[in-house]
Amino acid sequence: MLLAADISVYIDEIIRSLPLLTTEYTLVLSIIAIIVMDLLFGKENPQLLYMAATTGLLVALIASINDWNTVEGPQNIFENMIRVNRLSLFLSILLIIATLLTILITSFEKPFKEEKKGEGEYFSLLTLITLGSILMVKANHFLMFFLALETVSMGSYLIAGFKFDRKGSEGAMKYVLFGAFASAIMLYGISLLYGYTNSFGFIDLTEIAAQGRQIDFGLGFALIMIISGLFFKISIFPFHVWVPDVYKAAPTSITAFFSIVPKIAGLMMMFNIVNRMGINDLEISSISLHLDEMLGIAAIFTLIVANFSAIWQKSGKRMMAYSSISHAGFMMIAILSLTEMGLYALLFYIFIYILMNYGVFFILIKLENATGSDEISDFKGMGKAAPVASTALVILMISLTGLPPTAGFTAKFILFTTVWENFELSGQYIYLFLLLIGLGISVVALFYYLRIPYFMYFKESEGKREPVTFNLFELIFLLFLTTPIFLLFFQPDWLFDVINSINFASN
Amino acid sequence: MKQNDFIINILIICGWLIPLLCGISGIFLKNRKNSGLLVSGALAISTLIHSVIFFFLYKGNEIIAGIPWLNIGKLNISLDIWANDASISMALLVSFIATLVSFFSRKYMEDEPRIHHYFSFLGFFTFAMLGIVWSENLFLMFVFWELVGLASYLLIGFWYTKPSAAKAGLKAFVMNRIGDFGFMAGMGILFAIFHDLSITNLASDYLNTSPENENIFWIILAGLGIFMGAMGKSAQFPLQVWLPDAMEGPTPASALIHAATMVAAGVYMLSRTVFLYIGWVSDFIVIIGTITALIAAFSAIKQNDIKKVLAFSTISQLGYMIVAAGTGSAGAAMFHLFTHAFFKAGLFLGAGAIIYYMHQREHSESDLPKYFDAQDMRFMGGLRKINPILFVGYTIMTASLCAIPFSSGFLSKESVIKHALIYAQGGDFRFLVPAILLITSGLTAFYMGRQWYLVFMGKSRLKNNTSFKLQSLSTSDNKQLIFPIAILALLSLWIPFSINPFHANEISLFSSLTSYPQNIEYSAPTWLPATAVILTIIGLSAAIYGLTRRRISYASPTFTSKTPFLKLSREQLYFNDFYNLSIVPGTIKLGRFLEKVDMKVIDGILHAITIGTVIIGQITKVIEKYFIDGMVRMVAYISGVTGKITRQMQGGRIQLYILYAVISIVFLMLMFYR
Repeated sequence: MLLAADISVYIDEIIRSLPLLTTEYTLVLSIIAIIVMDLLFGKENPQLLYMAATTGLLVALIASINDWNTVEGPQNIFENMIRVNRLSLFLSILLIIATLLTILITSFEKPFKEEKKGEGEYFSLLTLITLGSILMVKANHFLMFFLALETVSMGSYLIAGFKFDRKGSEGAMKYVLFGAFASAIMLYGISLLYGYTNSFGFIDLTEIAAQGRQIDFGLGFALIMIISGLFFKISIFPFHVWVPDVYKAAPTSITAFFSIVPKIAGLMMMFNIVNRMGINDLEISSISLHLDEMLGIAAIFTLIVANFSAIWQKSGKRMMAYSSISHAGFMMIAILSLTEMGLYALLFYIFIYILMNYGVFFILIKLENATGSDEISDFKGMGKAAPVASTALVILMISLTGLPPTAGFTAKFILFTTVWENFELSGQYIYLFLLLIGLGISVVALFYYLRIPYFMYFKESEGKREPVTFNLFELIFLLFLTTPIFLLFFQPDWLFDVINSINFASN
Repeated sequence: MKQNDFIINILIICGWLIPLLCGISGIFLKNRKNSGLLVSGALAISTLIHSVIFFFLYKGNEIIAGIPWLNIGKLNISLDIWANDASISMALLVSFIATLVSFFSRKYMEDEPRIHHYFSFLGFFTFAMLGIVWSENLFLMFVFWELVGLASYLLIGFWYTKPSAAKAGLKAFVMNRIGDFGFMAGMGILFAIFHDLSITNLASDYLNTSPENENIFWIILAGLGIFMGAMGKSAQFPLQVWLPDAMEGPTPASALIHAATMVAAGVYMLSRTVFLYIGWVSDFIVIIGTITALIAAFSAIKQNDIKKVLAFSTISQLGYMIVAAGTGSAGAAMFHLFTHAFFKAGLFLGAGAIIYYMHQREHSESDLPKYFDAQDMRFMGGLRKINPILFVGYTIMTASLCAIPFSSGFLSKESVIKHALIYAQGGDFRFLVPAILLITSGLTAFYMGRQWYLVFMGKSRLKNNTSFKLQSLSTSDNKQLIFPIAILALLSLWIPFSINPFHANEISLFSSLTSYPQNIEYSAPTWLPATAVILTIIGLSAAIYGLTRRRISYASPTFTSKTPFLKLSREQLYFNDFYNLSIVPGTIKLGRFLEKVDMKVIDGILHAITIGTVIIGQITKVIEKYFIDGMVRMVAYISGVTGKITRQMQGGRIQLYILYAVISIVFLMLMFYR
């Protein structure tokens, strides 16, 4: 039974909390607006839906930037369910920008232009996933976290089948089944954790743990289950198997979206949990398992499996799917870091990754439109037919591989520096292995990333290719994505100044 | 004060960028002729801005401002400008002369179809030169150093269809590259030792460097390297050969670049970094400067091309400046730079006007001599009558170059020789330096007197006809040619620099010309200017006497000297032939040899690697065929079998995925279990 005093306390808490979630309301409102508009005049004027979605996201972006400028320290709101800090605001800005980019490249994709099917749902789901992702980044409580995660997952299951053909439905179905499995495991882990700690918050487990940071098997098992669920979301070995199937089956712009927005949210979630709960330091005594070692080995396996599988791919989209798994592995390395450099390396990497990935997927869409397939061997002779696209693709691929003079190199360089620091700091060999495997894998990556340009430039096509042209808007878009890749190589400070203003200690 | 600095910075940036922007936009003008007006206007505005800064805004405090550019590890390079008395007055000089030259060029280049290119190069050059002037950082200075080199290359080879012009541009570029190699090496050493390339920081680092420093050898060597850069740009022995050939470019460009400003960049750089030259490097600088001054003056004696004489005199005067810088008196060097800039730019413009006039004659007169050349002084003579302003102006500037009293050249040259004299008190053979400089000033008077007499005095040698009268070059039709010359001639008098025509107040003058003011004024013994003047008069009269005695009235190919000694002068001491016979073929041979090494050895290794790779490829192919493929087939077989088993279950693969994930997680958990 609630007392009146209690209620007023709750109301006060809610009133205190509400102003900090403007971004989220904006997104909710825009979802509703899109649905209503779709019902009223979605059939006649689908452009209105584009505009509504874009406007909603832009307003949300402005709200986020406004919060970023005003919020100083971390704010725990809704009884510690949600924590708003500069890190989460920075990420919500990135997530919204990524969604905007998705909408842009959607407008370039052929099937969407022609079929005119499910556009209202598409945009509302896109916004919904963005909303879930932002809440995921801000969550500070396992219930909140689970709700947000499921919002993202549900939206993703639906949106994955938007090709409306047999293959698309099959991919989406696989996604649902695998996702349900992962969610179940995670939920079980969360309930076990509650049993052990009597709390749903992200509490620091190192304080509960016994001497030598040891925890017993049950708690450790719960943690591993939660981590497994997250592994599914960010496609870390061994929960990565769904990725190529789903990515291949979904429309290309949605593939681009999947490889960025839910993944970044998952990564940040992982970072928050690992960091706030001190998982890096724990050891499950009964099976002598250091959790950081387990995470590191998962990252190593992810890198190896993803890169070696990518070499054999024939489809550009499947290759990019493995590439996104591999990049998740790299970002996982940053999460393991012990110092604040890890966070900075992660954020830098994420930023560059967004640019590169959208660039590549945009060009893949253009090539797909031109050739009608995403098989790499069908891109023969495109070097001559689409000089702009080919050149940009070479740049982006070099950046994805991590070679100078691109920002991809800078990102990997900072990452490896961090890993080396950790090795010197802790003396644990897992970091050395991470470094060596990461470097070695970068060499392997060269083979498959440069395969597409190889086919485009050095193989002649059988028939004559129609030249692929870009209109001014598309050129500007491409320039917008590729120029920073050079600029941030020469002048990484521009980004670092922003990232450095995020206070690591107050997370 | 802060606000004042800020305004100055903004103005500096404006004055710096406007010539470049107008130069670039001039290319796109529909009417190409207008690009001349555009660039001239831009340069005039730039001059105006600089003079506002110089006369009204600047309060005498050092301004260093800029933005950080690179921060990688220990490498911190910032794009800083360093405004003080020296750089502001230098910027004013550069933009002022550029303005006059561009106005002059509008007339001189009026028939040139690529005039818009010419003016954009001019704007670009001014931008780059101002970059050198403002740079606070050696690295930044080097960037503009190279850009200036590029501008010079473009302008020398402006008529690139002419083989000699193309070749001259190439020569200038290569010679400058040799010097730049030293500059780069010097910067490398400085950076390795001090981790900084900022000039002001280096200056304070040098103050704290004791002679016992373990790196002292390298520090001295760094000075030598940086000086090599100046040797290339300021055409010092043995890299001087490019400057006479650079006269292939348009004459106004020669006036601006190869006489007044760019070649002085080396001297300016020395004056900015005067602290770098310690130990034996300063002696080396003095020796190089002295040799250059002497041999260039000697080479000028028997030149017949009006521009070549001026080119050699430029080299010789640059030698004076280098000597002054080497003796540690950057003030004297900069003083001579300034006076020289005015009278030499004026002389070149005068030569340009004369060449313009001779070209007119070439087109309007008939039955000219067979070997007529508009630049050859042997075909001139009697030109004093064509335009009085041109004649008087040219005479004043010649007097200034010869260092006759009441001219600015007298003041600055006296100052240079005086500092050489002070240097000579150091003993050993150092007395040779002032002695050679004095002799050189006699030679200077000789070749300039010869030129002046050949061009202006006597009768026209254009035609073998005593009644032939030269047409006049009217001032009203050729304002743009005559006015710049008149202005520069007025600036070649003593008044702009000192009220006393015989002695300049060095303390106040030097403090406004150098970055590191000198506080001590030495007084020269009276015999020094007296000797200089006497030698000058001897030189002049020898030249005039020699020419009047020969009484040549008509130009003919026999009008050349056969004396071996003088032939040496005409052939410029055979430096070009020496390079062409020794170093050039040597380099080419070395290149051929390296090519052979490349073809035989490197390619051989590559071939071996290729063959090895093919062999390994064959081996791996066999392995792959039987071993890997076998494994693949085995995997396929097993998968097939597994597939058969799982096929009964609907959508069997997803369960398999899950099973696989669970097994893996358990494996990950238990892999450390002991």
